[in-house]
Amino acid sequence: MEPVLRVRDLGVLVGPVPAVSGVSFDIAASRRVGLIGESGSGKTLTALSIMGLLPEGLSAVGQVVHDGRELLELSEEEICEIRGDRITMVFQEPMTALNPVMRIGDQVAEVLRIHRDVSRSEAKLRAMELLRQVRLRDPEARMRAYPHQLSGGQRQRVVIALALACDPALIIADEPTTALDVTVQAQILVLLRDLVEDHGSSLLLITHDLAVVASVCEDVLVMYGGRIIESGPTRDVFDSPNHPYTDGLLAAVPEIEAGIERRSRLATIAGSVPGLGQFPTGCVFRNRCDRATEACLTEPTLLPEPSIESGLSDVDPPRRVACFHPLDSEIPS
Amino acid sequence: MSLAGHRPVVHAVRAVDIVVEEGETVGVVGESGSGKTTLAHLLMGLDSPTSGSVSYRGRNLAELSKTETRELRGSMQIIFQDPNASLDPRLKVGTIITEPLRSLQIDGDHQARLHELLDSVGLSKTAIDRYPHEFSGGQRQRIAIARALAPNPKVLIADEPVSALDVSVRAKTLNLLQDLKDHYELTLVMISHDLSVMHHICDQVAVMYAGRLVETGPVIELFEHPEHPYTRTLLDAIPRLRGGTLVADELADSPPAIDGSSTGCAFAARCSLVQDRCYVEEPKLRELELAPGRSAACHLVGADIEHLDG
Repeated sequence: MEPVLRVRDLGVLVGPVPAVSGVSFDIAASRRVGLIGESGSGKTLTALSIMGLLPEGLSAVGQVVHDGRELLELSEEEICEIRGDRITMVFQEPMTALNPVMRIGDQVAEVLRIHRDVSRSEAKLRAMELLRQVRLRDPEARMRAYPHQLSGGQRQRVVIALALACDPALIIADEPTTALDVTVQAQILVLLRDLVEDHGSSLLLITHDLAVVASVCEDVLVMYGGRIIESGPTRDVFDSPNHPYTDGLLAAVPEIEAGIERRSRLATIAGSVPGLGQFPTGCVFRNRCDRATEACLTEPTLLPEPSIESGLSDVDPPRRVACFHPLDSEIPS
Repeated sequence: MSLAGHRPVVHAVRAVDIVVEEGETVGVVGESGSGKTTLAHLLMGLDSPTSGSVSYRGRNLAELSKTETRELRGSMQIIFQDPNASLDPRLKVGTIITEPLRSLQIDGDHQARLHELLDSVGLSKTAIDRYPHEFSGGQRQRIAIARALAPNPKVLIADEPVSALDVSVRAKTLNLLQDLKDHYELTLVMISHDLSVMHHICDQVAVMYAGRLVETGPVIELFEHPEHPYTRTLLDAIPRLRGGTLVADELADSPPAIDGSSTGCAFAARCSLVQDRCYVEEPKLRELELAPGRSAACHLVGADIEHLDG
């Protein structure tokens, strides 16, 4: 089966510097995939390239295929037909996604009017139904509200309603709950997870928060220095990471877990994330890695390559790692 | 001032009793609007309480003379979430870090102190003549920490000190705070919404909701056996690294009533265990009979433990 999104060898140049390089992955239908990484890992640039929303002056190379079409080769007009309909986005700050001078109901109805051949009254009915689905209390009254009259959590619900309006194949959510309080975050995450499932959509959730991915996503992609360095089913990757960076990242997270002793110190990763253009040649992580050898002067490939199986919804994707000395191997002495 | 008409009184922080023991790390946990930052400002003497008092080593802050206030400013320092906003972009790092020594008129070898401070926060001497924008977020937070430590404070208040930092930088900053606390024998007050961070670094924790303290106690016990329904809601809402189910509280984004008109428990409208008396009678923070050192402000706590544990 054809995956909902097939990304091959995606790269983004910032000036002469590759900020994203050799990114390849598949998203199968109705799968929830987390994309994690720290600042400067290239996760947001990856998402923006898929959507054709890179800032002025940046362009993406490689292949991004959805429904048999090469997204990177489409004209602005063609990509606009897909964006907001087949592939939609939810951003961190809901205010930037909403029109401040337009009533909530009209905004949701407008999306339906643009992408679907529906009458004004039909669109309105559908909009109300969507606001009900995102569990906005008293949706009838909320239809007439302006964004500023809602709380941050309620606004993010409206953005999710917009994203779901056309039953998209894929929703890309970039740090959708980072600005929210912890109890509101839980609501939005549960809502997103459940509605994505109800609408039969896939989800690409971009976040720096590993625990958010663990709670929402079946699969995970870990980025560092513009590359995907590890991927696979979330539970497997988090239980036994193969890449030393994934391992370091997981160990740096303080945990509240019954039965697990509180550590007096958190594990840390040596050094700090280099600035753009200052990553080492070969493996981008080798200057911070205690497993690095001479072999790491060559850039490792993320293996195995995505196969036909990675397009299947009901099969877990294979575990992939871009490392010559993954944690399940011995370092040659 | 009548421009805004009659303004109702809002209790941002209300009836808060908190004791911070010397040498401890105390966490104040709460969501937006819970009053945790207002509480930090009150502790620092940056704001004055409309009623009640804040005392440091037995002295009421409001009754201190000018000289005593200046001395107190040296003893209590604060660091904020966003080091970009708290570091003057036009000043060099050396000037920034030694600024409290000048403004508090602390004598001594400022240059030697500067070198010592840079060393203890893990920054090199070359930082002295550079500007804040030349540093990463984590390094800027180190600059802010060095400045706060300059007057040799006894109490360090940290208001969301790691919320803006990446996972790996956050771990290093938390380790640094712990090292500094040991080295300088600091009392640390951490204000944060991040329960995992609190659990990691604090000895004692105070949970705030709508300006009130709803539960206090030793952090490990309190997180393992929360007594107040709000504390439970908070803990249920944390996404866990090892999977586990997220529990969403459907009413989480309905703000609590904090104006003067409200009676009863501020959490009543969201509480699944609510009873009639919760709407009329405000619960007082009281020590738990079965767990000395722990307190909760809930009518149901201790009344019917089995019911709560369900």
